[in-house]
This record gives sequence, structure tokens and C-alpha cells, in this order.
Amino acid sequence: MMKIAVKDAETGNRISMEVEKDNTIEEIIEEAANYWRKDPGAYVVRLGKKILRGEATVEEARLQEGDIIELIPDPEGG
Amino acid sequence: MKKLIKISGEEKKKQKIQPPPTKIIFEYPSSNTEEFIKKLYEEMGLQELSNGIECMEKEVESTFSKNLDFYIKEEALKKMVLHCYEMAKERKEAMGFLIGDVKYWDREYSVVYDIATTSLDASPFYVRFDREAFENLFDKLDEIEYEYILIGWYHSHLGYTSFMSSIDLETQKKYFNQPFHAAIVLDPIAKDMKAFRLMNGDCVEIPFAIFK
Repeated sequence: MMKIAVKDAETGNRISMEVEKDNTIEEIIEEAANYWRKDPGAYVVRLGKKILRGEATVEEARLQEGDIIELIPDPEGG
Repeated sequence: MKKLIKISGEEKKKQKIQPPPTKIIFEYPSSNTEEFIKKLYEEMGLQELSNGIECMEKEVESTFSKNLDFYIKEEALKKMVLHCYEMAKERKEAMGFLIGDVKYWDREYSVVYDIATTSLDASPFYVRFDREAFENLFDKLDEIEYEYILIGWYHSHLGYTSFMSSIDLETQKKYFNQPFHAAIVLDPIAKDMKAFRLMNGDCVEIPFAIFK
């Protein structure tokens, strides 16, 4: 088990989570999005400068204890 | 088998208790936006633009709220104006995030201190971030030295004034649906700027103030 946080850039709020190394980023984001009632597929997920791919596992994405991943909106204007 | 993820708690961002900015240099709707943007152009050494295009967007209905609770720092506005102006010269829409904070005095209010943007996938009628340019956007977010909130987003129209279209409203509903969130629509050709937010799911035009 590893403790990480997910930050919602739209509010500045964070949730702490305990994840396993074979959880995927998609599962993490789904969990956070359900908690905040957001559309999980609508966001770009970043860890520092890196975009995290949904299918990557915690291990593959090289997440470390205490890391903060952030949900970034992907707006469209017309 | 899917491994369980356990949420152990939420840390809500605390609102600072602080009076709103006082050095106001422009207030909408009591002052004239066109004249203010014209003055900004003079200060910034920008020539007026005249290459407007015919409107292809349908304006969504909006009402007007009278309560001033949206403040924009002059420096952030100047960056936004310059970005929209430069993109308009290429006949393309501009877009970016409004970076700031939500505070509380006798009511909740939001303040835009800066903007963040990157290369865009843009046309005269559409804009989004370039799929390959997020890293640059993340760099800009990392440069911010305080716990920022994305207060909303801005984008431009090319000569057919400032309003929310249906695609703009979709973005607002999807991402910026909190009471403190806002959308700025800036038209660097018509020298027009308006701010909007969602209230009970409806699009509402809101007053704003620019401060030094």
C-alpha cells in the first residue's frame, strides 16, 4: 500500500488515497472523479511535468509515496 | 481482480479571510469597456485591429448578476489582452486558464492574479490546447508560488463581440461549475470583454473589476 494524493485544480481540494502498485491511473482517477462527481474521462492527469496515461499502473507510472497527481481541465471554446 | 483503492480523507483548500482589492482601475458594467481596452492598447503600444470575421456562433441566453465578486489583476488582464490580440492577428481564437484564489470577506469572491496558457489548436471559431503542448502548460503552473486554484478560463472572439456559445457553456458546465468560477470572453477586435458564470445551471453575465 502506498499513500498518494489527488488534487482538483478547479478547487484546490485534495483527497488522500491508499493505492496498490498494480492499480491503474484510470482506477485512481475514477475513484477521485466519483468522489467529486466529475467526468473521469474529461481530464488530463499530471504528475509534475508528465501526463499520466490511464492504462499505466502505479508501478509503471513510477508513483512514489506522497506524490500528488493533479486533474487538469481540457477546455474547448468556440 | 481490481484492487481496492481507499480514500482516507479530503483536505479542502482553506479560504483566506481578506478584504477585496481596493485599487480598482476599471469596473464593469459602470465604465466603458471599449474605451478601457483602447487605453490599454495605447499603453501597450498596440494598433487597433480591424480584421473581424462574420459570426458563426450562436449566443446562449444569459441574465445579469449585480453582485461584484470577481476581481482581475491588471497584469493578468494585460497578458490576456496581448495573447488574444496576437492570436487575432493570425485570425485564430486564444484560450488559457485564469489562475488565482477564492477569498472571503463579507462574502466569497474570486481573484485572478495570472493566466496560464500554451500552444493552441485554434481556428477562427474553435480553440483548445495543443495535444502536444501540455508539458509547457504544466511548467507554467509549476512556476506559480502559491496554492493556486483555476478560477476559470478565458478565450477570444474575433470581432463579433463577447458572449458564451453552446460549446463555451459545455466547458463551463464540465469544468468550471462552482459558484466562484468564471469565464472571460474577450474580443480584441471589437474591444469588448465580458465575464460569465453558472448559477443554478444557467449562464449569467457577471460584473468584474480590474485592480492594480
